[in-house]
Amino acid sequence: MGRLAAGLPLSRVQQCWLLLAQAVAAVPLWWRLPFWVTLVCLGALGWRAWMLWSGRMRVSRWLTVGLLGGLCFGLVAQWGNPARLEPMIALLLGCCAFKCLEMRRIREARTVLFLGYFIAAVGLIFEQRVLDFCLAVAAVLVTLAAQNMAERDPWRQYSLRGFSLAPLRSVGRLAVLSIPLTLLIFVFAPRLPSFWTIPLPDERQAQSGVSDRLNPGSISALTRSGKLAFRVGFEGPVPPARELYWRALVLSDFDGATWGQRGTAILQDGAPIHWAGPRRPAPDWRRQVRYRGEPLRYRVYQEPSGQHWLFAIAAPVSDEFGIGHTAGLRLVSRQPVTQRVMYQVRSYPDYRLDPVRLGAAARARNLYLPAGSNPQTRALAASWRAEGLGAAAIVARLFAQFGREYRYTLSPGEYGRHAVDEFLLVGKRGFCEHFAAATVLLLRAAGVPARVVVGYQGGELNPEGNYLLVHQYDAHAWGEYWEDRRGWVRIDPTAAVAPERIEYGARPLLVDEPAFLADEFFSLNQVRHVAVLNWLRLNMDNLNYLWLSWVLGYDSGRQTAFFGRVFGVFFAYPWLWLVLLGSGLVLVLAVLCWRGPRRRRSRIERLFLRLRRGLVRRGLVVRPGHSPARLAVLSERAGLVRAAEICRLFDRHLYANRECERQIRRRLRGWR
Amino acid sequence: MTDSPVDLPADSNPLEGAVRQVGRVLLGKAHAVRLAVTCLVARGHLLIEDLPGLGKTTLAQALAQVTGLAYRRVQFTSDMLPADLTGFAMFDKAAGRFEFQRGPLFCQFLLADEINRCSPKTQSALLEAMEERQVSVDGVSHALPVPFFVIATQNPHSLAGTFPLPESQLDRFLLRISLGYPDAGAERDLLAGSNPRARLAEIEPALDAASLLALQARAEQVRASAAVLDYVQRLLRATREGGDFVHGISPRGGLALLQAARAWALLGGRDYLSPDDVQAVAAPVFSHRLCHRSSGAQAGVDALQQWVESIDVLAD
Repeated sequence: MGRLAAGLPLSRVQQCWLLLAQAVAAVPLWWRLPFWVTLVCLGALGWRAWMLWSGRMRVSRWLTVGLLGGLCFGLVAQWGNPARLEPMIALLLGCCAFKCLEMRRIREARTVLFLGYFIAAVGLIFEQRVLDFCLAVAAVLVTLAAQNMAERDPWRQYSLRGFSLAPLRSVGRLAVLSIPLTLLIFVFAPRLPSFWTIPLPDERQAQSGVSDRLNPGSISALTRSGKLAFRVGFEGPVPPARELYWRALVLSDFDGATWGQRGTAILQDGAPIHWAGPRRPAPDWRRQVRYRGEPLRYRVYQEPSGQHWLFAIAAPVSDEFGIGHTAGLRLVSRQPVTQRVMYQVRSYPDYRLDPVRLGAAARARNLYLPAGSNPQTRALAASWRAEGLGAAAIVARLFAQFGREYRYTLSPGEYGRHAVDEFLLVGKRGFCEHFAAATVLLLRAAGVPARVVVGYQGGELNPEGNYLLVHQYDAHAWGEYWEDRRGWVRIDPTAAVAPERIEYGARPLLVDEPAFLADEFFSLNQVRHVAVLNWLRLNMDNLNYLWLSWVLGYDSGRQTAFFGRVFGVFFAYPWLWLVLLGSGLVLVLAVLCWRGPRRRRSRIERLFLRLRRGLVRRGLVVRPGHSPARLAVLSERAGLVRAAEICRLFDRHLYANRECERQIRRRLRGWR
Repeated sequence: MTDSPVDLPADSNPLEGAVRQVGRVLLGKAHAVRLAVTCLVARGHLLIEDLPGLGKTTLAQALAQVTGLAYRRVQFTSDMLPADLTGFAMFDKAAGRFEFQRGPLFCQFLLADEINRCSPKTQSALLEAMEERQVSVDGVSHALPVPFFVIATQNPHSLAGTFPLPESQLDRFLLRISLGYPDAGAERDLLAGSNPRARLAEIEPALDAASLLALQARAEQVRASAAVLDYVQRLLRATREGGDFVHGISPRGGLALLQAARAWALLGGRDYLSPDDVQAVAAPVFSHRLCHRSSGAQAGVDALQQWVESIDVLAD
């Protein structure tokens, strides 16, 4: 019957459901693809809907081929190299929409349906928030309803007037019934490592957040974005904002205009990286670090940045696989962070270096200034030096000046070739990168090893879930200088010029500047002053945070730990559970599906089935209840004379008790 | 199908003539007329369920006239008693004994109009007579004439002041049909033409009691091959196991289906049964014997027809 049904024309209600399912399944992808692709796909679906209303059913094959060609051309024009994720998804969506255009039979509907499930899953590639998950579930439910409709009693033609949400209701009931099984699979199914990778979105586009170069304007550019950088959940109380310096990068090299890191690909701070894991010999620098005191324990949920660096405070330690510790006391990831990652960190604010020693090469690196750059700043440094000021005194005097004469602003104006000179002596307006660069440069000119650190500062506490939200506009730059008895000392000139930036975050300070959040089209971040909307924003984020930590964060490590805790060590292996549950499921299905021995079909029945298949192949709408005599009439009407003759033979053989089997056999020979 | 055995050529088939004659009065309802004639030939009784004014009575009168049977019409009312139907024993003073007075039931063709208006007691008296083809009054059985054919009409139950027939009694009717509104063309002809009552008078009898009995006997001779019996069994099983209906069709219902299908085959001029014959009568045979599980209502004819077509004619 399945084969007969495949050839049946779709009724209008079924088509309605199929189009609806297509549209819903693609919703999460619409925002990800260029405007015109969405327009083309929706246009094709809309056209199909119009055909449904107007009763016009044929679309020329050449038209669909032409549309497909146009789509491919557009994709190549848009992306150049089509072997990447987005153009492939766009192609999938387009093909599916065009398939809808020529969908007339249940056979084609099945193709569209299964593509629909695939598209619903593809929607989760980019984002896995609660909302995305809900959209995917909705898409699957509507597609299931469409399938329910398409496969329900295929011999009946449902009229459009009978359109109801009944299929959705029955599918919803099934979905509710399947929740326990889903939970079981969620808890017990082993988390497999990904065994294939997809060409990721354009690397450069995907990179976001602080970059490995610092020049005037690079941090202030980040304040245009209200995007989330990462979330942090502390195990204990959240430390005060002035201690929350999330270090991402240490920039020691200055070429006269830009601060950066020379040479090393993964930014190892001039010394080997110490990767987490047992039996990894610690490099020299790591043995120098004494982790003392009570650590801060927290978990970072980092949004994709496309970069290698991670975020942590003070001297961090992490035992996660694939995470390394650098000599700059930072954490880095072996793979660029292209998907949301979670890592557990212990940070030791009271760490010490023992012995406190800076190698000659490192000292030279952190003192280097290109010849001829910023001569006035160097002269100033030299004069302060001549007064006999030490590093701490220089910093104190500079910060006092900052506090008196300088302004902290997002739009400081342009500075020329000797940017620090112009900023320090003329302009006196700047953002954190200006202050940090000037301070470090002045210290270096005074003979104190110093470097720039970039990362994020502070964060917004979400009182609903007691965790921190760190946004892109929290990006910050500050400095560190070397003191021979203490090691690296953090100095933040921003704290001198705008202490409220450190205490209360960037937002209240910048909210009136026109450039702040300028890249946001609309977000709840912009309407924080409306209490209800802010409450909504924080609660929604809290929901996502819980989702992240409980659902997405349930990885193989946590799974093994959970099994070990609940079932004992022996049952801690997810693979064991996979085998147990899998075989149990197969057994249950086998028992449910076993219907006892099937009656063997007689010869004449098999011949008749062959005849019917042949008629279906010739485009006839054959229902199971069509008798041979009726099929004869239908075949005659379709011009199939030979088929009609065979049908009549069947009628005589089966019902008029005339033995015609040999004739039937002869006629059916070679008739497929 | 030139070489298939047709023992009643279409033009000389008296049944076809009868159908054509009735069709001249009841315009645009050829299928309903064929079903009515089928019911007659299958020795069954017919239930017509429809709103007033759609031609139920006209159909019955035309059919009675074309078959030339002794016709009586009884209008059922709520105060009717069984004796009004069957007759009663009356004391004959001259003879000095009780004499049985025959009621209107003693005829060959009874039109029981609006059967659901009378009380259940009277209804069951009629239905008993239909089943037993005899009437017992005061311990004496009186056989009804042969052939005996009842057309009962009823209004849909939603109308006020009716006693709906219980399912067990509906089972006494072989077929249930409804006429429905005529299509535009037929209605125009009706409006433009002469009075249907006048046209009734023009009908010539195409049959008589003897030939009808012969045809009824002939219908029972229509051959049913193993394949078609398999098909009927598959249909019956599907009503019981498919989960679509509250109760399946009883074996008696299966016999009724076969009986009606045989008559339909004879009407089509064939001496063997094909699945088409079964399908043609299946919906009217099943419609008052099945209740949909989902709605609890009796199955609609169109939905049943679609359901029947979804049951495979040959294989599971």
